[in-house]
Amino acid sequence: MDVSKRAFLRAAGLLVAEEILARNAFARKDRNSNGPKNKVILAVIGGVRRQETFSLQGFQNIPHLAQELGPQSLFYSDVRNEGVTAHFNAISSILTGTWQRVGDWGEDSPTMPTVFEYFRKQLRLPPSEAWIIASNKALTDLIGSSSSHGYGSSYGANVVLPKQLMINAVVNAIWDRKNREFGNRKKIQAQMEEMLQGVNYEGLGWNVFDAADRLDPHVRATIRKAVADLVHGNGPMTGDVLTFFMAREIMRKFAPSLLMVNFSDVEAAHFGSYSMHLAGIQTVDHLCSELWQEVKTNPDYAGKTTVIILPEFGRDADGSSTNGFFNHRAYDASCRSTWLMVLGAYAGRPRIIRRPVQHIDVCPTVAELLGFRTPDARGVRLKEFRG
Amino acid sequence: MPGASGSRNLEASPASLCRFRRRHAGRQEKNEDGFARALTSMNTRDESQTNREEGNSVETLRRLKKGISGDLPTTFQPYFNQQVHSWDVLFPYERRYLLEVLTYLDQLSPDQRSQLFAPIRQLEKAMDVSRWDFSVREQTLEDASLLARSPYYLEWRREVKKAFAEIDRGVEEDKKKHVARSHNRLILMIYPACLPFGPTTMWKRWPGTGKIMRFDADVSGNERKFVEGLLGASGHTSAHASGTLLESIARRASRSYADVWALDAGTALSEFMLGAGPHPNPVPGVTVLSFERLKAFRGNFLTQVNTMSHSLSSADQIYNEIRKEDVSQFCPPEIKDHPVVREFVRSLFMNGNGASVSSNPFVQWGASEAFRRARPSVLIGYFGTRNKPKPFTSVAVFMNQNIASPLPSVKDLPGSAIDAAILSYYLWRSSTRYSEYQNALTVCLAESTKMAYVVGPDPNPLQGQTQPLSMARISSALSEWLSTPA
Repeated sequence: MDVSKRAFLRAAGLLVAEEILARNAFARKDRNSNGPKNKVILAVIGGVRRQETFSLQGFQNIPHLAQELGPQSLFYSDVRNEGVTAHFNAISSILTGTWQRVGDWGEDSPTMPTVFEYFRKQLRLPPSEAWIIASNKALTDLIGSSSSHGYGSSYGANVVLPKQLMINAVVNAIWDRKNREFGNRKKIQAQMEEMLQGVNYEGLGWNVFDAADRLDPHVRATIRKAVADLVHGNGPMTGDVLTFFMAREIMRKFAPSLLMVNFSDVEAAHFGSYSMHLAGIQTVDHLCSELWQEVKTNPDYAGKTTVIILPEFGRDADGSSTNGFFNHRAYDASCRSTWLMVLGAYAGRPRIIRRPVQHIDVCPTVAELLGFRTPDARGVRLKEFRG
Repeated sequence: MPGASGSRNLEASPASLCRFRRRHAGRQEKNEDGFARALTSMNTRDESQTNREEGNSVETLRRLKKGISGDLPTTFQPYFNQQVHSWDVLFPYERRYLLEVLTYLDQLSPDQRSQLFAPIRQLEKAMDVSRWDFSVREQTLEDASLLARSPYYLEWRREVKKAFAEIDRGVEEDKKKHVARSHNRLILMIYPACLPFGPTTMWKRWPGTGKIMRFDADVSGNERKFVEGLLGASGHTSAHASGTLLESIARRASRSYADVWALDAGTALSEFMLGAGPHPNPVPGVTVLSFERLKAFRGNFLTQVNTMSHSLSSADQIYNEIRKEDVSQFCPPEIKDHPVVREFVRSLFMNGNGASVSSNPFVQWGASEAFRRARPSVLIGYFGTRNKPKPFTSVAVFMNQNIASPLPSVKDLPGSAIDAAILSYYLWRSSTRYSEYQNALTVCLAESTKMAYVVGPDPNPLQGQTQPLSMARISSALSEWLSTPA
């Protein structure tokens, strides 16, 4: 990754972090006060089939997960999504511990309390302790909290959708009639700057401490420089890489005890490119390793963090009437069956668990690690987690 | 896209009804409106006659549909309503199917219909469908989404499948006769020389029953010459009485516009078939779809898709507008005045699966839909390349990358080859869903490796070849295959 891109991505993280820091002094103050001793990071990947990941032919796509992280992990080889295999519902189910059946496009909140709401309500924690950083376009800020009575956004997670910032900038640039004929990258740069100057988090689908104000001038200048470097560069960059950098900045500035990062480059499969789907798998494989390195080296996380990595679901089988790897709606084994990897404090000794477990088991297990209850969850705690 | 293919929930293989009719013969009342008689005679008439008759049958069709619509489960109604409404732009095969199903349902007594649909009705009650904002007029994303997130969805799908299986059982004998009367079929796939394939890995997904064959094609990556050589248009004569492959294809194409399809990622195959560019003679009657030649159509489609906001209702609204738009101005001449094919393309893009954004998925998904909707006897797919995603702008998938970034486009040849390898396999797999293709010979030719993969019934004219075959020999063999009754 070249310097300009790195600068942009780091700055993009600062876009959230520094701005909020300036106006929410309580955030940093709370970092070392009432938070739980343990921390949990959920890394949820879009739809990937077993055959492209944890299988003999799939290992080549996931060298980090298979060779570097796998051998030190608690690995569940048979994890099932028995709910709706669409993005918003799959993630809602993981977060609530119940099979959710709300709108596919994030037009409704989950109907049961999310793990973030239980966490913040029972432990009386500030918003800075719970974050969702997500790539997937199907998610909206409604993923951060439920419509359940007694819970809701007051106890929810901050939701940041970094990829949406990029998409909006590009789309706006193209649709802006003034810029329609732009023939050089300066036009993109101008569009990005325009967005960043008047940034509206809610307009991007974000929900960060209810903030929708303007950027701090110092942050804006940093971003401007990074954007200039980015748009005049020529290296590969994906939504997931931006998401990772944003998540890392959040970890460094706020050190939340409960963080979910959602990666979605693999969803290029919907557009029929198997090679781009595989590239997405390879990217997220690398980013999972980077995330683990950050956990090991960041003093706020080292030694007390459990990282849980799992796909939302598989994808449809080759030969299915739903066009195989393109989609995830056949509801067959290829679509429902996936895996889960646990690293860190509560992984215990490395081993592979072959008994079937479910996505909805994640929520009560996380609760156990962080010391709260999930009375409405229907999943069961995964007993192999140490503790 | 969620639920984009919800329509296929209600798809079953085409109906014919003999066995079922026999089973219910004593119980059903005779339908005396003449429609069934007209239907019976359809297969014995020439196509233009049939088309005229079908055209004249629209009112009858609507009456028939009206007669049974009260007995149809709510979740079945959008499919039937939409099909009846789209009658003018259905392929002959689809018309026959729709007529058979409606006639079948019409011939059942109300009690029998009730019995057939009872499990589905029970599930609809359990799902509380009557309280849904469910469109019965046409299939919508909202409908598909409502169904897909119901806890009863899987059960519902199972029952729908069972209901259609009941119908299909009845038609199987007719269908067998129809297939038996037909000629052999051919699926031909071409990977141009620019796609780099590993000779040992390329066919790894395909069944072991297929055979790898070598061929000679000294055309130095010239796509036009390769097509000419394969189809037998480069001056050689065929050793077989059936002539060249081109001649056999032309004979098939003259029977029906829906019988021969050419799906092209670029222009080499399409221009050859259309007699465009350097090719002087078109092959009349072939349905030709070229990703490249549909550029304006795709551009307009994507422009509209990009106006969609983040909700299903917005998506449905945009899709409704796309359905109604006069797209003639965006169509290449070969489909501009051909409403059925034009609507096929529109529907292809609306169904997603990458057909509007990338050439190889266009070929694969287009072929899959052609098999499902038109049952062509010859289908030729010509794969191609896509560009590497451009930095930064690639996040906006539906955007035109050439507009979004001034950087020059760079072809992703290895990635395109990976895509073509799996998509050609998918293309073949989609044909195997239909009994008509039991008699299909599938031949994939990779110019970069001078290797082909052949899957199909034994015996076939390419069987047992150990020496590299010339293009003329392949052309002749495939022509022979097409000329042999199944």
